[in-house]
Amino acid sequence: MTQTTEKRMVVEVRDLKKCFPSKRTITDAIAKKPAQVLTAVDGVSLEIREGETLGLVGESGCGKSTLARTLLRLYEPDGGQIFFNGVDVTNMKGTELRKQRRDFQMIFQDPYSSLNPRKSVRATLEEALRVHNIIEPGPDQKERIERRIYTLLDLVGMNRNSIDRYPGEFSGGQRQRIGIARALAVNPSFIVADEPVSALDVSIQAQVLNLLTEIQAKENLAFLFISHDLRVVRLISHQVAVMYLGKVIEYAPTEDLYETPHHPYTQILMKAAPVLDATNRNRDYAIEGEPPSPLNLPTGCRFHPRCPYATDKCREEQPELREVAPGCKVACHYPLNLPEQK
Amino acid sequence: MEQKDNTSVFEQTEASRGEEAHHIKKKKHFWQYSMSLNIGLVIIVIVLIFAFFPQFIAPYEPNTSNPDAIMLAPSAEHLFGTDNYGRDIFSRVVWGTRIDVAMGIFAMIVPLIVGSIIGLIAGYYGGWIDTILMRILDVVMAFPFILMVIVIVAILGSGLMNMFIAIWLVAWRDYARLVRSEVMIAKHSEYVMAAKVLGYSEIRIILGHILPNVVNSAITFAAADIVMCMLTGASMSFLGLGVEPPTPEWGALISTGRPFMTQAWWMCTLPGVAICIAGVGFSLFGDGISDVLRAKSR
Amino acid sequence: MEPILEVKDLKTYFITKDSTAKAVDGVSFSVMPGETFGLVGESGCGKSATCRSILQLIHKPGRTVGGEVIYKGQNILDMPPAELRKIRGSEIGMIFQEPMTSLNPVLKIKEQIFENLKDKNLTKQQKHDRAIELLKLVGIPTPETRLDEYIHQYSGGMRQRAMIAIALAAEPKVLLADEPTTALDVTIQDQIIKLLGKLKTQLGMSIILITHDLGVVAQMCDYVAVMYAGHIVEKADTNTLLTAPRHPYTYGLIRSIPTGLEGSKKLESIEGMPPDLNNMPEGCPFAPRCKFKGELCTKVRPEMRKLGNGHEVACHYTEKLEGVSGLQSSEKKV
Repeated sequence: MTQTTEKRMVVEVRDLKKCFPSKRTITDAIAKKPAQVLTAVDGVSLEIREGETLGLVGESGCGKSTLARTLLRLYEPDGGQIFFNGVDVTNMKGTELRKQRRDFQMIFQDPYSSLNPRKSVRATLEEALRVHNIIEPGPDQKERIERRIYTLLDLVGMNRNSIDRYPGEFSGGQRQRIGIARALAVNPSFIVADEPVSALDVSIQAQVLNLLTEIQAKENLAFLFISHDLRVVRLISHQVAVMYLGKVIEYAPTEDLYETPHHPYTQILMKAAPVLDATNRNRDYAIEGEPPSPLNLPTGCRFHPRCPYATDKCREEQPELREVAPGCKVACHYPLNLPEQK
Repeated sequence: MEQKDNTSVFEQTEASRGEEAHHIKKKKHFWQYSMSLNIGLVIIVIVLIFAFFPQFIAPYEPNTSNPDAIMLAPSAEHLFGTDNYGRDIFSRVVWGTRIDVAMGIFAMIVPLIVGSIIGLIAGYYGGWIDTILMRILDVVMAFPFILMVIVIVAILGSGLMNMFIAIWLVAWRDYARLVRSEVMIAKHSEYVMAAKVLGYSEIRIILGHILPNVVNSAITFAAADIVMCMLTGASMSFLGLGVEPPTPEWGALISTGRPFMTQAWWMCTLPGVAICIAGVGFSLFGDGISDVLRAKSR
Repeated sequence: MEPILEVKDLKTYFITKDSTAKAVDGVSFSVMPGETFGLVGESGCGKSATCRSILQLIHKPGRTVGGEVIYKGQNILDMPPAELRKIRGSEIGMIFQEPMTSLNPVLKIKEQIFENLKDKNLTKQQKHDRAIELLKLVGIPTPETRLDEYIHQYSGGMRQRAMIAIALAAEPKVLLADEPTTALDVTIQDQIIKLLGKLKTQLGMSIILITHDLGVVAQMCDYVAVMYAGHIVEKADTNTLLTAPRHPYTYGLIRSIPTGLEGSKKLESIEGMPPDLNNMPEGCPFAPRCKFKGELCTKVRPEMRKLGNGHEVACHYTEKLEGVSGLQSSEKKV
């Protein structure tokens, strides 16, 4: 993973923040109660290079989907900077932003709601191609568009005669393939995949994962792959970032992270995933309790109330993300599995 | 390596080929969906024939009085009897069809369009636009439909056009509310988010992606609303606020027959039956349309 | 030992004017007292329909058209409605995937527990004590205050616990658990799995676990049946099933789960999709997707074959899988 420096940087995010003010009722406003602010993403920095996948792991409510949507400028960022291929898109607006959008696409979680039920496969793909003038206008534009659609269908492993069908006629796995084709139609350099396989059955999941890896290799795409499933992330990612309550708490090359997790939370997540081995059952909970509400964050390290190793320092001082081993960053005062501890 | 990738994609195509056959739905003809649609359509076709070709169906001139045939009971000669001027009621009912059906359709169409646009804008943009539009809607909603219509006609003066304006000013509220609530759901769906990610313009997203997915409920409502508008028109004419006599119109016919209830029951009853049949026809049609749209959207 | 619940040749079809979907087509299994029995399969394979058929909770147009469900020597399917109601809840309890939709949102948690208590003649105080005891049992902190709350005031994991407490109030002998951990985060799923395991030993009940997740099966179940397109294709004890599967579908399912150790290799996936239940292929339902299929597969539907040690499999060519390991050996490390 060290040769990555030669590859072109596609996505760079610096200190990204996104807050949601909770709605105040009129009585609150009269009583001059301050509006509560939910900080969903709190100072996240990421880098993704071409042909690489960054896996983003965390439990529900940790802000991973908000991060993805803010980074795609579907939500307005409240701080930080976003660069795609070196272009700062943080404050881009209107037509300029819309033109830029063909560079970064998204694959959605729910194959049943991510396709417009009233548009055939052809209409869905053709619209994307036409809006961004992917196929240059000319006398045989129509044929060239059709040829391009067929190429896309071949690429995602869909039958060519499904071109005039509607989403309702396909199964979940096939719909997900159409969703992938739609994202690929505009020749992006970066794709966010937000839990793309968690709504699919295991056997179909494997097909879609293989497809994503294949496409990445062919098109040299950068991926941000969001998932709660540690196994899937390990399979598909080159780097992994673990999020907890809006912050990245560990960021490392995949194998380093799985072999030697440095943050107690990462270790606990791995312990909690059910092992596929009936002879290896653990009777103890991996962790007690549930994450606190993001509206009411603990002081110091956000994980300290649940951390088995917490000390007074953890309760008072928020740890910064720092490099503890080559390429491995962790936000913990007392990282586990440090080289000298071994 | 490259070659390997190609074969596996090919395999997947092969694999999915066999399976897709199961997912093709059997194509149904539209009349196979719903019995009420079929019955409704039959009635509507008859009503429309009456509306378009009254001159071929009505046996007498609707407005020619006949002093020799005053208040005759229904017979082979005068199917629905005659009125106090000796006019043939069946002919008047046939000629009235045109006005009543037109009232139903015209009174419905403008609110359908205007209300849907208002609902789309309020639902999609939200914020203060939504707040203003919805407060106006609340005010209109606060009064009973027919009362609002009567008040507006009273201000504008009676007459067919004024009655239309009155209904237009009130009826948009139902469409706006219906469409707005559907837009609120649709705009958070992932396919709309996908459209945004693809950099589509807002107009394209609203008209191309949201509208087709929310218009069904408005259309279903409109099909039932025709009846409502027809009845409102008839009621207004009955009250003397709509169509002016002697123009044959069902509500007005009932109104003129009312004083003679005891001597000549047919004068108000039979035009009432006509309203009833047309109303049931359009209701069944509306019901059927919603069945078909529901089946199609699956 | 006598099984506590026995399902014999259960058939539940969804019959409409145009078609008959055989959601459950001749399913047989038995559950021993104190055992956790897993019913695994992908969406639409009929595992939930099987579970609901046991308690006759199938909605129209679904109908159980054949088979028996023997509980304590009686066929539940023949019972008059009044007796069936006695079995439901009090003898056989059920928990679901989504507490928010399966619990009543306008009743306090304590009211829902009271309603379900086995002993109907308790005094108010006794009921209250029993409710607190139940909430403690499922690991809800400060049960005294939480009793008076509504389900929406609970957090995700606590909702699942409350639902389990309500089901346990009736002291059921068998607990049907329909995807109880699917909607939960891994750490909460881990807690619920372990809670159910603890309760099972503590209360001596049997659990029928419906799930699509073989990891959950590995952690919870003693015995497993794999369903595919309305049929059980393989039954075995959990370890045998995971380490030495003898049905190509089970094998494919296990191999489809990424272990994270494939490196840059491709995942082994099962190509294609499950068949349409309205339009089942002749012969083995898995044949169109099967890597090992032979001549017989597209013609004759395979019967269950006993391989010994309670391992049964419905495959003509099961010997092709002999010696093939399901799990990749280094899986244990993850």
